[in-house]
Amino acid sequence: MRSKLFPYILLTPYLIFFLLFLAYPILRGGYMSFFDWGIMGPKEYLGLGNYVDLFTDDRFWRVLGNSFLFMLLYVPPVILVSMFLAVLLHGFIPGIGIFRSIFFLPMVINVSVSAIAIKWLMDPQIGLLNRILDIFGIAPQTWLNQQGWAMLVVSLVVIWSSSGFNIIIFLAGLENISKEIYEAAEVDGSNPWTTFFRITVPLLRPVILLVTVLSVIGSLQVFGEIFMLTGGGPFGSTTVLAYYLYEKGFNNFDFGVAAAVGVVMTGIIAILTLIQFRFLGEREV
Amino acid sequence: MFKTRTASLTARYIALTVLGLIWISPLLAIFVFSFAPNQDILRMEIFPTSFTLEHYNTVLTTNMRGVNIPSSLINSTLIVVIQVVGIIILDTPAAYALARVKFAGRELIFGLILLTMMMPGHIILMSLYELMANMSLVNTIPGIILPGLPRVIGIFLLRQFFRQIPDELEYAARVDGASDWQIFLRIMVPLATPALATLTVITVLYSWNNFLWPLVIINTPEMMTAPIAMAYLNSGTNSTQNYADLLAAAFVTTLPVIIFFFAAQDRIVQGISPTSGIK
Repeated sequence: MRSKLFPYILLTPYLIFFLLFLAYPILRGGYMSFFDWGIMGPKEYLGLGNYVDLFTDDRFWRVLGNSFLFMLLYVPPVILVSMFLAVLLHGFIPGIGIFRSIFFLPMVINVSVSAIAIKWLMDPQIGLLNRILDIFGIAPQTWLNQQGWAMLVVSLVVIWSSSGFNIIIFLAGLENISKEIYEAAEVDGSNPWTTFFRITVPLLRPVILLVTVLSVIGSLQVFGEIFMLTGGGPFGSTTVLAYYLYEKGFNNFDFGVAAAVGVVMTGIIAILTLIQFRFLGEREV
Repeated sequence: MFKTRTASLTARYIALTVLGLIWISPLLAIFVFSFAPNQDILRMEIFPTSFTLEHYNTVLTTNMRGVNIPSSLINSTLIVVIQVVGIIILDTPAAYALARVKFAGRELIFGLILLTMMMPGHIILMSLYELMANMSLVNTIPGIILPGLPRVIGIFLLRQFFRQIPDELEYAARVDGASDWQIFLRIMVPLATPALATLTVITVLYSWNNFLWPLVIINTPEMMTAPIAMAYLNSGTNSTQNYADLLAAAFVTTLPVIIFFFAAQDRIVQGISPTSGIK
Protein backbone atom coordinates (compact mmCIF):
# COMPACT_ATOMS: atom_id res chain seq x y z
CA MET A 1 0.00 0.00 0.00
CA ARG A 2 1.21 3.44 -0.84
CA SER A 3 0.82 6.12 1.72
CA LYS A 4 -0.77 9.26 0.31
CA LEU A 5 1.53 11.38 2.43
CA PHE A 6 4.75 9.76 1.20
CA PRO A 7 5.52 12.12 -1.72
CA TYR A 8 4.63 15.21 0.30
CA ILE A 9 6.92 14.19 3.15
CA LEU A 10 9.72 13.72 0.60
CA LEU A 11 9.09 17.11 -0.97
CA THR A 12 8.36 19.30 2.03
CA PRO A 13 11.90 20.02 3.27
CA TYR A 14 13.03 21.13 -0.19
CA LEU A 15 9.85 23.08 -0.83
CA ILE A 16 10.24 25.05 2.40
CA PHE A 17 13.68 26.27 1.29
CA PHE A 18 12.48 26.73 -2.29
CA LEU A 19 9.53 28.90 -1.27
CA LEU A 20 11.39 30.91 1.37
CA PHE A 21 14.72 31.57 -0.39
CA LEU A 22 13.80 31.39 -4.07
CA ALA A 23 10.12 31.72 -5.02
CA TYR A 24 9.18 34.36 -2.44
CA PRO A 25 12.24 36.56 -3.12
CA ILE A 26 11.52 36.46 -6.86
CA LEU A 27 7.91 37.60 -6.35
CA ARG A 28 8.93 40.17 -3.76
CA GLY A 29 11.60 41.45 -6.18
CA GLY A 30 8.87 42.06 -8.74
CA TYR A 31 6.72 43.76 -6.07
CA MET A 32 9.62 45.99 -4.96
CA SER A 33 10.03 47.32 -8.48
CA PHE A 34 6.75 49.27 -8.11
CA PHE A 35 7.97 51.19 -5.05
CA ASP A 36 10.45 53.74 -3.90
CA TRP A 37 12.12 51.17 -1.67
CA GLY A 38 15.13 51.80 0.55
CA ILE A 39 17.11 49.51 2.79
CA MET A 40 14.52 50.04 5.56
CA GLY A 41 11.60 48.93 3.40
CA PRO A 42 8.98 50.55 1.14
CA LYS A 43 8.67 54.33 1.23
CA GLU A 44 6.14 55.12 -1.46
CA TYR A 45 4.12 53.32 -4.14
CA LEU A 46 5.18 54.55 -7.55
CA GLY A 47 3.26 52.32 -9.94
CA LEU A 48 5.39 52.11 -13.06
CA GLY A 49 7.44 55.09 -11.89
CA ASN A 50 10.74 53.21 -11.59
CA TYR A 51 10.32 51.80 -15.09
CA VAL A 52 9.42 55.21 -16.53
CA ASP A 53 12.51 56.66 -14.84
CA LEU A 54 14.72 53.93 -16.26
CA PHE A 55 13.50 54.21 -19.83
CA THR A 56 13.65 58.01 -19.86
CA ASP A 57 17.20 57.99 -18.46
CA ASP A 58 19.94 58.23 -21.08
CA ARG A 59 22.29 56.44 -18.71
CA PHE A 60 20.08 53.35 -18.64
CA TRP A 61 19.93 53.25 -22.45
CA ARG A 62 23.71 53.37 -22.42
CA VAL A 63 23.75 50.47 -19.95
CA LEU A 64 21.49 48.49 -22.28
CA GLY A 65 23.77 49.38 -25.19
CA ASN A 66 26.82 48.26 -23.21
CA SER A 67 25.13 44.94 -22.42
CA PHE A 68 24.37 44.29 -26.07
CA LEU A 69 27.87 45.39 -27.07
CA PHE A 70 29.26 42.87 -24.61
CA MET A 71 26.97 40.21 -26.06
CA LEU A 72 28.31 40.92 -29.56
CA LEU A 73 31.93 40.92 -28.39
CA TYR A 74 31.45 37.74 -26.40
CA VAL A 75 28.92 35.33 -27.93
CA PRO A 76 30.18 34.84 -31.52
CA PRO A 77 33.86 34.56 -30.50
CA VAL A 78 33.22 32.19 -27.61
CA ILE A 79 31.23 29.87 -29.87
CA LEU A 80 33.90 29.90 -32.59
CA VAL A 81 36.79 29.51 -30.16
CA SER A 82 35.10 26.71 -28.20
CA MET A 83 34.07 24.84 -31.34
CA PHE A 84 37.56 25.16 -32.81
CA LEU A 85 39.20 23.96 -29.59
CA ALA A 86 36.69 21.11 -29.27
CA VAL A 87 37.61 19.91 -32.77
CA LEU A 88 41.31 20.07 -31.83
CA LEU A 89 40.68 18.25 -28.56
CA HIS A 90 38.37 15.59 -30.03
CA GLY A 91 39.54 12.00 -30.35
CA PHE A 92 42.72 10.45 -29.06
CA ILE A 93 46.22 11.69 -29.82
CA PRO A 94 49.10 11.27 -27.36
CA GLY A 95 49.08 13.98 -24.71
CA ILE A 96 45.49 15.03 -25.39
CA GLY A 97 44.62 14.65 -21.70
CA ILE A 98 47.07 17.37 -20.69
CA PHE A 99 45.73 19.73 -23.34
CA ARG A 100 42.14 19.06 -22.28
CA SER A 101 43.02 19.86 -18.67
CA ILE A 102 44.66 23.12 -19.70
CA PHE A 103 41.59 24.28 -21.61
CA PHE A 104 39.08 23.07 -19.00
CA LEU A 105 40.93 24.50 -16.01
CA PRO A 106 39.93 28.19 -16.37
CA MET A 107 36.25 27.40 -15.74
CA VAL A 108 37.00 26.50 -12.12
CA ILE A 109 39.28 29.48 -11.46
CA ASN A 110 37.51 32.21 -9.55
CA VAL A 111 37.03 35.53 -11.30
CA SER A 112 38.74 37.29 -8.38
CA VAL A 113 41.95 35.40 -9.14
CA SER A 114 41.96 35.60 -12.93
CA ALA A 115 41.11 39.30 -12.73
CA ILE A 116 44.09 39.96 -10.46
CA ALA A 117 46.37 38.36 -13.05
CA ILE A 118 44.81 40.32 -15.93
CA LYS A 119 44.88 43.64 -14.06
CA TRP A 120 48.54 43.16 -13.29
CA LEU A 121 49.55 41.93 -16.77
CA MET A 122 47.64 44.79 -18.41
CA ASP A 123 48.62 47.50 -15.96
CA PRO A 124 49.76 50.60 -17.89
CA GLN A 125 52.72 51.15 -15.53
CA ILE A 126 53.96 47.69 -14.55
CA GLY A 127 52.12 45.30 -16.87
CA LEU A 128 54.14 42.70 -18.71
CA LEU A 129 51.85 42.77 -21.75
CA ASN A 130 53.01 46.23 -22.84
CA ARG A 131 56.57 45.16 -22.12
CA ILE A 132 56.23 42.12 -24.37
CA LEU A 133 54.40 44.03 -27.11
CA ASP A 134 57.19 46.62 -26.99
CA ILE A 135 59.64 43.90 -28.08
CA PHE A 136 57.57 43.57 -31.26
CA GLY A 137 57.49 47.35 -31.67
CA ILE A 138 53.84 47.76 -30.66
CA ALA A 139 53.04 50.97 -28.81
CA PRO A 140 51.90 50.65 -25.16
CA GLN A 141 48.17 50.76 -24.43
CA THR A 142 46.34 51.61 -21.25
CA TRP A 143 43.97 48.64 -21.83
CA LEU A 144 41.41 48.64 -19.03
CA ASN A 145 41.65 52.42 -18.58
CA GLN A 146 40.74 53.06 -22.18
CA GLN A 147 37.20 53.26 -23.56
CA GLY A 148 36.73 50.64 -26.25
CA TRP A 149 39.61 48.48 -25.09
CA ALA A 150 38.09 47.91 -21.64
CA MET A 151 35.00 46.06 -22.86
CA LEU A 152 37.09 44.02 -25.29
CA VAL A 153 39.45 42.93 -22.51
CA VAL A 154 36.50 42.00 -20.28
CA SER A 155 35.02 39.89 -23.07
CA LEU A 156 38.37 38.14 -23.65
CA VAL A 157 38.55 37.25 -19.97
CA VAL A 158 35.00 35.91 -19.98
CA ILE A 159 35.74 33.91 -23.16
CA TRP A 160 38.80 32.48 -21.42
CA SER A 161 36.90 31.48 -18.31
CA SER A 162 33.78 30.10 -20.02
CA SER A 163 35.27 28.30 -23.03
CA GLY A 164 36.00 25.16 -21.00
CA PHE A 165 32.30 24.67 -20.27
CA ASN A 166 31.39 25.17 -23.93
CA ILE A 167 34.21 22.94 -25.19
CA ILE A 168 32.82 20.11 -23.04
CA ILE A 169 29.35 20.56 -24.57
CA PHE A 170 30.83 20.61 -28.10
CA LEU A 171 32.97 17.54 -27.36
CA ALA A 172 29.85 15.65 -26.28
CA GLY A 173 28.24 16.72 -29.57
CA LEU A 174 31.26 15.58 -31.59
CA GLU A 175 31.17 12.17 -29.86
CA ASN A 176 27.69 11.67 -31.28
CA ILE A 177 28.78 12.15 -34.89
CA SER A 178 29.56 8.72 -36.32
CA LYS A 179 33.09 7.99 -37.42
CA GLU A 180 31.89 6.44 -40.69
CA ILE A 181 30.82 9.83 -41.98
CA TYR A 182 34.35 11.17 -41.52
CA GLU A 183 35.91 8.08 -43.06
CA ALA A 184 33.59 8.37 -46.05
CA ALA A 185 34.52 12.04 -46.42
CA GLU A 186 38.21 11.20 -46.31
CA VAL A 187 37.79 8.49 -48.96
CA ASP A 188 36.02 11.05 -51.14
CA GLY A 189 39.09 13.29 -50.78
CA SER A 190 37.46 15.97 -48.64
CA ASN A 191 40.03 18.29 -47.05
CA PRO A 192 39.82 19.14 -43.32
CA TRP A 193 38.18 22.55 -43.92
CA THR A 194 35.50 21.16 -46.22
CA THR A 195 34.87 18.35 -43.76
CA PHE A 196 34.52 20.86 -40.95
CA PHE A 197 32.10 23.20 -42.72
CA ARG A 198 30.13 20.58 -44.69
CA ILE A 199 29.89 17.82 -42.10
CA THR A 200 30.84 18.90 -38.59
CA VAL A 201 29.03 22.26 -38.44
CA PRO A 202 25.69 21.06 -39.90
CA LEU A 203 25.61 17.99 -37.65
CA LEU A 204 26.45 20.11 -34.61
CA ARG A 205 23.52 22.49 -35.24
CA PRO A 206 21.52 21.43 -32.14
CA VAL A 207 24.63 21.77 -29.96
CA ILE A 208 25.40 25.18 -31.48
CA LEU A 209 21.85 26.25 -30.63
CA LEU A 210 22.28 25.11 -27.04
CA VAL A 211 25.63 26.87 -26.62
CA THR A 212 24.27 30.03 -28.26
CA VAL A 213 21.25 30.19 -25.96
CA LEU A 214 23.35 29.55 -22.85
CA SER A 215 25.99 32.09 -23.92
CA VAL A 216 23.44 34.81 -24.68
CA ILE A 217 21.76 34.27 -21.31
CA GLY A 218 25.14 34.21 -19.57
CA SER A 219 26.37 37.32 -21.39
CA LEU A 220 23.49 39.42 -20.04
CA GLN A 221 24.35 38.37 -16.50
CA VAL A 222 28.07 39.10 -16.59
CA PHE A 223 29.08 40.74 -13.33
CA GLY A 224 32.22 39.42 -11.61
CA GLU A 225 34.63 40.34 -14.40
CA ILE A 226 33.17 43.86 -14.62
CA PHE A 227 33.29 44.30 -10.84
CA MET A 228 36.88 43.09 -10.62
CA LEU A 229 38.43 44.53 -13.78
CA THR A 230 36.78 47.88 -14.52
CA GLY A 231 34.20 48.76 -11.85
CA GLY A 232 31.92 49.74 -14.75
CA GLY A 233 34.42 52.28 -16.12
CA PRO A 234 36.16 54.00 -17.73
CA PHE A 235 33.41 56.65 -17.93
CA GLY A 236 30.65 54.07 -17.56
CA SER A 237 31.70 52.32 -20.76
CA THR A 238 31.53 48.84 -19.18
CA THR A 239 28.52 49.40 -16.92
CA VAL A 240 26.28 46.51 -18.00
CA LEU A 241 22.85 45.53 -16.65
CA ALA A 242 23.97 43.31 -13.77
CA TYR A 243 26.58 45.83 -12.65
CA TYR A 244 24.08 48.70 -12.86
CA LEU A 245 21.65 46.68 -10.74
CA TYR A 246 24.38 46.07 -8.16
CA GLU A 247 25.29 49.76 -8.09
CA LYS A 248 21.68 50.87 -7.67
CA GLY A 249 20.94 48.17 -5.10
CA PHE A 250 24.04 48.04 -2.98
CA ASN A 251 25.90 51.33 -3.48
CA ASN A 252 22.83 53.59 -3.53
CA PHE A 253 20.52 51.19 -1.65
CA ASP A 254 17.78 52.07 -4.09
CA PHE A 255 16.15 48.63 -4.00
CA GLY A 256 13.09 49.67 -6.02
CA VAL A 257 15.08 50.81 -9.06
CA ALA A 258 17.48 47.85 -8.76
CA ALA A 259 14.51 45.45 -8.71
CA ALA A 260 13.09 47.16 -11.80
CA VAL A 261 16.44 46.61 -13.56
CA GLY A 262 16.18 42.95 -12.50
CA VAL A 263 12.70 42.66 -14.01
CA VAL A 264 13.92 44.24 -17.26
CA MET A 265 16.84 41.78 -17.34
CA THR A 266 14.48 38.86 -16.82
CA GLY A 267 12.23 40.11 -19.62
CA ILE A 268 15.09 40.60 -22.09
CA ILE A 269 16.47 37.13 -21.36
CA ALA A 270 13.04 35.52 -21.78
CA ILE A 271 12.44 37.30 -25.10
CA LEU A 272 15.89 36.48 -26.49
CA THR A 273 15.57 32.83 -25.48
CA LEU A 274 12.21 32.53 -27.25
CA ILE A 275 13.52 34.27 -30.39
CA GLN A 276 16.53 31.97 -30.55
CA PHE A 277 14.44 28.83 -30.25
CA ARG A 278 12.09 30.09 -32.96
CA PHE A 279 14.82 31.30 -35.27
CA LEU A 280 17.50 28.65 -34.84
CA GLY A 281 15.26 25.83 -33.67
CA GLU A 282 12.98 25.45 -36.67
CA ARG A 283 15.81 25.03 -39.12
CA GLU A 284 17.12 22.14 -37.12
CA VAL A 285 17.49 18.94 -39.12
CA MET B 1 47.20 10.55 -47.66
CA PHE B 2 49.73 9.51 -45.02
CA LYS B 3 51.61 12.75 -45.59
CA THR B 4 48.58 15.00 -45.09
CA ARG B 5 47.69 13.07 -41.95
CA THR B 6 51.11 13.65 -40.40
CA ALA B 7 51.02 17.27 -41.50
CA SER B 8 47.60 17.83 -40.00
CA LEU B 9 48.64 16.09 -36.79
CA THR B 10 51.67 18.37 -36.53
CA ALA B 11 49.49 21.40 -37.20
CA ARG B 12 47.13 20.21 -34.49
CA TYR B 13 49.93 19.92 -31.93
CA ILE B 14 51.29 23.33 -32.85
CA ALA B 15 47.85 24.94 -32.53
CA LEU B 16 47.19 23.20 -29.20
CA THR B 17 50.59 24.17 -27.81
CA VAL B 18 50.38 27.82 -28.81
CA LEU B 19 46.79 28.23 -27.59
CA GLY B 20 47.51 26.14 -24.49
CA LEU B 21 50.37 28.47 -23.54
CA ILE B 22 48.11 31.50 -23.98
CA TRP B 23 45.37 29.80 -21.94
CA ILE B 24 47.63 28.88 -19.05
CA SER B 25 49.67 32.11 -19.06
CA PRO B 26 47.63 34.10 -16.49
CA LEU B 27 47.85 31.27 -13.96
CA LEU B 28 51.47 30.57 -14.79
CA ALA B 29 52.33 34.25 -14.33
CA ILE B 30 50.64 34.31 -10.91
CA PHE B 31 52.49 31.16 -9.88
CA VAL B 32 55.95 32.23 -11.09
CA PHE B 33 55.88 35.80 -9.79
CA SER B 34 54.40 34.85 -6.41
CA PHE B 35 57.90 33.51 -5.66
CA ALA B 36 59.69 36.60 -7.01
CA PRO B 37 60.79 39.73 -5.17
CA ASN B 38 58.27 42.55 -5.56
CA GLN B 39 61.03 44.60 -7.21
CA ASP B 40 60.91 42.23 -10.19
CA ILE B 41 57.27 43.08 -10.75
CA LEU B 42 57.85 46.83 -10.45
CA ARG B 43 60.82 46.62 -12.81
CA MET B 44 58.75 44.54 -15.24
CA GLU B 45 61.24 41.68 -15.40
CA ILE B 46 59.95 39.05 -17.83
CA PHE B 47 61.70 36.35 -15.80
CA PRO B 48 62.15 36.56 -12.01
CA THR B 49 65.67 37.36 -10.82
CA SER B 50 65.53 35.40 -7.56
CA PHE B 51 63.37 33.06 -5.50
CA THR B 52 61.68 33.98 -2.25
CA LEU B 53 59.00 32.55 0.03
CA GLU B 54 58.42 35.85 1.86
CA HIS B 55 55.08 36.51 0.12
CA TYR B 56 53.74 33.12 1.18
CA ASN B 57 54.95 33.87 4.68
CA THR B 58 53.02 37.16 4.61
CA VAL B 59 49.87 35.51 3.21
CA LEU B 60 49.84 32.57 5.58
CA THR B 61 50.89 34.24 8.83
CA THR B 62 49.69 37.86 8.75
CA ASN B 63 46.53 39.86 8.15
CA MET B 64 46.52 41.73 4.87
CA ARG B 65 44.41 44.87 5.40
CA GLY B 66 42.46 42.94 8.00
CA VAL B 67 42.02 39.89 5.78
CA ASN B 68 43.43 36.63 7.00
CA ILE B 69 43.72 34.34 3.99
CA PRO B 70 43.83 31.04 5.94
CA SER B 71 40.65 31.92 7.82
CA SER B 72 38.95 32.93 4.55
CA LEU B 73 39.85 29.46 3.26
CA ILE B 74 38.28 27.94 6.38
CA ASN B 75 35.11 30.02 5.82
CA SER B 76 34.94 28.86 2.21
CA THR B 77 35.49 25.21 3.12
CA LEU B 78 32.84 25.31 5.83
CA ILE B 79 30.33 26.85 3.41
CA VAL B 80 31.12 24.27 0.70
CA VAL B 81 30.70 21.33 3.09
CA ILE B 82 27.41 22.54 4.57
CA GLN B 83 25.97 23.45 1.17
CA VAL B 84 26.92 20.08 -0.34
CA VAL B 85 25.43 18.11 2.54
CA GLY B 86 22.35 20.34 2.73
CA ILE B 87 21.66 20.21 -1.00
CA ILE B 88 21.98 16.42 -1.11
CA ILE B 89 19.67 15.96 1.88
CA LEU B 90 17.04 18.31 0.45
CA ASP B 91 17.29 17.37 -3.23
CA THR B 92 17.42 13.56 -3.11
CA PRO B 93 13.95 12.93 -1.62
CA ALA B 94 12.36 15.81 -3.52
CA ALA B 95 13.79 14.70 -6.87
CA TYR B 96 12.73 11.12 -6.16
CA ALA B 97 9.15 12.19 -5.46
CA LEU B 98 9.08 14.31 -8.64
CA ALA B 99 10.52 11.47 -10.72
CA ARG B 100 8.86 8.29 -9.49
CA VAL B 101 5.87 8.94 -7.24
CA LYS B 102 2.56 9.97 -8.79
CA PHE B 103 0.66 12.56 -6.78
CA ALA B 104 -1.62 15.51 -7.32
CA GLY B 105 0.20 18.68 -8.34
CA ARG B 106 3.45 16.99 -9.33
CA GLU B 107 3.74 18.55 -12.78
CA LEU B 108 2.76 21.95 -11.42
CA ILE B 109 5.42 21.85 -8.71
CA PHE B 110 8.11 20.69 -11.11
CA GLY B 111 7.04 23.33 -13.63
CA LEU B 112 7.39 26.09 -11.02
CA ILE B 113 10.80 24.81 -9.94
CA LEU B 114 11.95 24.72 -13.55
CA LEU B 115 10.59 28.21 -14.19
CA THR B 116 12.83 29.72 -11.50
CA MET B 117 15.81 28.10 -13.22
CA MET B 118 15.28 30.40 -16.19
CA MET B 119 15.31 33.55 -14.06
CA PRO B 120 18.55 35.48 -13.70
CA GLY B 121 19.70 35.36 -10.09
CA HIS B 122 19.91 39.15 -9.83
CA ILE B 123 16.24 40.00 -9.34
CA ILE B 124 16.22 38.29 -5.94
CA LEU B 125 19.33 39.99 -4.50
CA MET B 126 17.50 42.90 -2.88
CA SER B 127 14.59 40.94 -1.43
CA LEU B 128 16.96 38.22 -0.25
CA TYR B 129 19.11 40.84 1.46
CA GLU B 130 16.03 42.23 3.16
CA LEU B 131 15.00 38.73 4.25
CA MET B 132 18.46 38.08 5.70
CA ALA B 133 18.35 41.42 7.52
CA ASN B 134 15.01 40.44 9.07
CA MET B 135 16.53 37.15 10.19
CA SER B 136 19.63 38.98 11.52
CA LEU B 137 21.79 36.95 9.14
CA VAL B 138 23.58 39.77 7.29
CA ASN B 139 27.35 39.28 7.47
CA THR B 140 27.09 35.70 8.77
CA ILE B 141 28.05 32.29 7.39
CA PRO B 142 24.41 31.01 7.49
CA GLY B 143 23.50 34.17 5.56
CA ILE B 144 25.80 33.00 2.75
CA ILE B 145 24.69 29.37 2.92
CA LEU B 146 20.88 29.45 3.15
CA PRO B 147 19.98 31.06 -0.20
CA GLY B 148 22.17 28.50 -2.01
CA LEU B 149 20.23 25.51 -0.67
CA PRO B 150 17.20 25.56 -3.02
CA ARG B 151 19.41 25.53 -6.16
CA VAL B 152 17.37 23.87 -8.88
CA ILE B 153 20.15 22.12 -10.78
CA GLY B 154 20.30 19.19 -8.31
CA ILE B 155 16.57 18.56 -8.52
CA PHE B 156 16.88 18.54 -12.27
CA LEU B 157 19.89 16.22 -12.37
CA LEU B 158 18.62 13.71 -9.78
CA ARG B 159 15.08 13.65 -11.20
CA GLN B 160 16.53 12.78 -14.59
CA PHE B 161 18.53 9.98 -12.98
CA PHE B 162 15.66 8.48 -10.96
CA ARG B 163 13.44 8.43 -14.05
CA GLN B 164 15.92 6.16 -15.86
CA ILE B 165 15.71 3.42 -13.22
CA PRO B 166 13.54 0.57 -14.61
CA ASP B 167 10.13 0.10 -12.96
CA GLU B 168 10.70 -3.68 -12.68
CA LEU B 169 13.16 -3.09 -9.87
CA GLU B 170 10.53 -1.28 -7.85
CA TYR B 171 7.82 -3.91 -8.60
CA ALA B 172 10.12 -6.73 -7.51
CA ALA B 173 10.86 -5.01 -4.21
CA ARG B 174 7.18 -4.31 -3.66
CA VAL B 175 6.30 -7.97 -4.27
CA ASP B 176 8.90 -8.85 -1.64
CA GLY B 177 7.02 -6.62 0.77
CA ALA B 178 9.26 -3.55 0.80
CA SER B 179 7.60 -0.31 1.92
CA ASP B 180 7.83 3.07 0.11
CA TRP B 181 10.53 4.19 2.49
CA GLN B 182 12.53 0.97 2.17
CA ILE B 183 12.42 1.20 -1.62
CA PHE B 184 13.59 4.79 -1.50
CA LEU B 185 16.30 4.44 1.14
CA ARG B 186 17.57 0.90 0.52
CA ILE B 187 17.28 0.63 -3.25
CA MET B 188 17.02 4.02 -4.93
CA VAL B 189 19.48 6.09 -2.89
CA PRO B 190 22.34 3.55 -3.24
CA LEU B 191 21.64 3.33 -6.98
CA ALA B 192 21.89 7.10 -7.22
CA THR B 193 25.49 7.21 -5.93
CA PRO B 194 27.01 8.22 -9.31
CA ALA B 195 24.44 11.00 -9.77
CA LEU B 196 25.01 12.17 -6.20
CA ALA B 197 28.77 12.22 -6.86
CA THR B 198 28.22 14.40 -9.93
CA LEU B 199 25.93 16.70 -7.95
CA THR B 200 28.54 16.94 -5.21
CA VAL B 201 31.25 17.97 -7.65
CA ILE B 202 29.06 20.58 -9.33
CA THR B 203 27.97 21.94 -5.97
CA VAL B 204 31.54 22.18 -4.65
CA LEU B 205 32.54 24.29 -7.65
CA TYR B 206 29.43 26.48 -7.49
CA SER B 207 29.74 26.96 -3.78
CA TRP B 208 33.45 27.75 -3.74
CA ASN B 209 33.24 30.16 -6.68
CA ASN B 210 29.99 31.87 -5.73
CA PHE B 211 30.78 35.57 -5.99
CA LEU B 212 27.86 37.97 -6.18
CA TRP B 213 25.82 36.84 -3.16
CA PRO B 214 28.74 36.68 -0.67
CA LEU B 215 29.85 40.07 -2.00
CA VAL B 216 26.43 41.50 -1.15
CA ILE B 217 25.88 39.85 2.22
CA ILE B 218 29.40 40.05 3.74
CA ASN B 219 30.88 43.33 4.89
CA THR B 220 33.72 42.62 7.33
CA PRO B 221 37.10 41.01 6.51
CA GLU B 222 36.83 38.16 9.03
CA MET B 223 33.60 36.83 7.48
CA MET B 224 34.88 36.88 3.89
CA THR B 225 35.09 33.78 1.70
CA ALA B 226 38.34 33.29 -0.22
CA PRO B 227 37.07 34.89 -3.47
CA ILE B 228 35.59 37.88 -1.64
CA ALA B 229 38.84 38.30 0.31
CA MET B 230 40.68 38.45 -3.02
CA ALA B 231 38.18 40.95 -4.41
CA TYR B 232 38.63 43.08 -1.31
CA LEU B 233 42.45 43.01 -1.57
CA ASN B 234 42.22 43.73 -5.30
CA SER B 235 40.01 46.78 -4.73
CA GLY B 236 42.74 48.54 -2.77
CA THR B 237 45.63 47.61 -5.02
CA ASN B 238 47.72 50.07 -6.95
CA SER B 239 51.08 49.80 -8.65
CA THR B 240 53.05 50.94 -5.64
CA GLN B 241 51.74 48.25 -3.28
CA ASN B 242 53.31 44.86 -2.74
CA TYR B 243 51.90 43.14 -5.80
CA ALA B 244 53.74 39.88 -5.20
CA ASP B 245 51.88 39.42 -1.89
CA LEU B 246 48.63 39.71 -3.79
CA LEU B 247 49.79 37.10 -6.33
CA ALA B 248 50.77 34.71 -3.54
CA ALA B 249 47.34 35.20 -1.94
CA ALA B 250 45.71 34.57 -5.34
CA PHE B 251 47.64 31.35 -5.72
CA VAL B 252 46.90 30.14 -2.20
CA THR B 253 43.16 30.70 -2.66
CA THR B 254 43.23 28.92 -6.04
CA LEU B 255 45.30 25.90 -5.09
CA PRO B 256 42.42 24.01 -3.37
CA VAL B 257 40.21 24.37 -6.43
CA ILE B 258 43.02 23.35 -8.80
CA ILE B 259 43.64 20.19 -6.76
CA PHE B 260 39.91 19.50 -6.71
CA PHE B 261 39.73 20.02 -10.47
CA PHE B 262 42.41 17.43 -11.19
CA ALA B 263 40.90 14.96 -8.73
CA ALA B 264 37.39 15.31 -10.13
CA GLN B 265 37.94 16.26 -13.78
CA ASP B 266 36.03 13.29 -15.22
CA ARG B 267 33.03 13.96 -13.00
CA ILE B 268 33.08 17.65 -13.88
CA VAL B 269 33.03 16.78 -17.57
CA GLN B 270 30.20 14.30 -17.00
CA GLY B 271 28.23 16.85 -15.05
CA ILE B 272 28.41 19.37 -17.88
CA SER B 273 28.00 17.04 -20.88
CA PRO B 274 24.44 17.30 -22.21
CA THR B 275 23.92 13.53 -22.19
CA SER B 276 24.13 13.35 -18.40
CA GLY B 277 21.01 15.39 -18.00
CA ILE B 278 22.29 18.84 -17.12
CA LYS B 279 20.69 20.66 -20.02
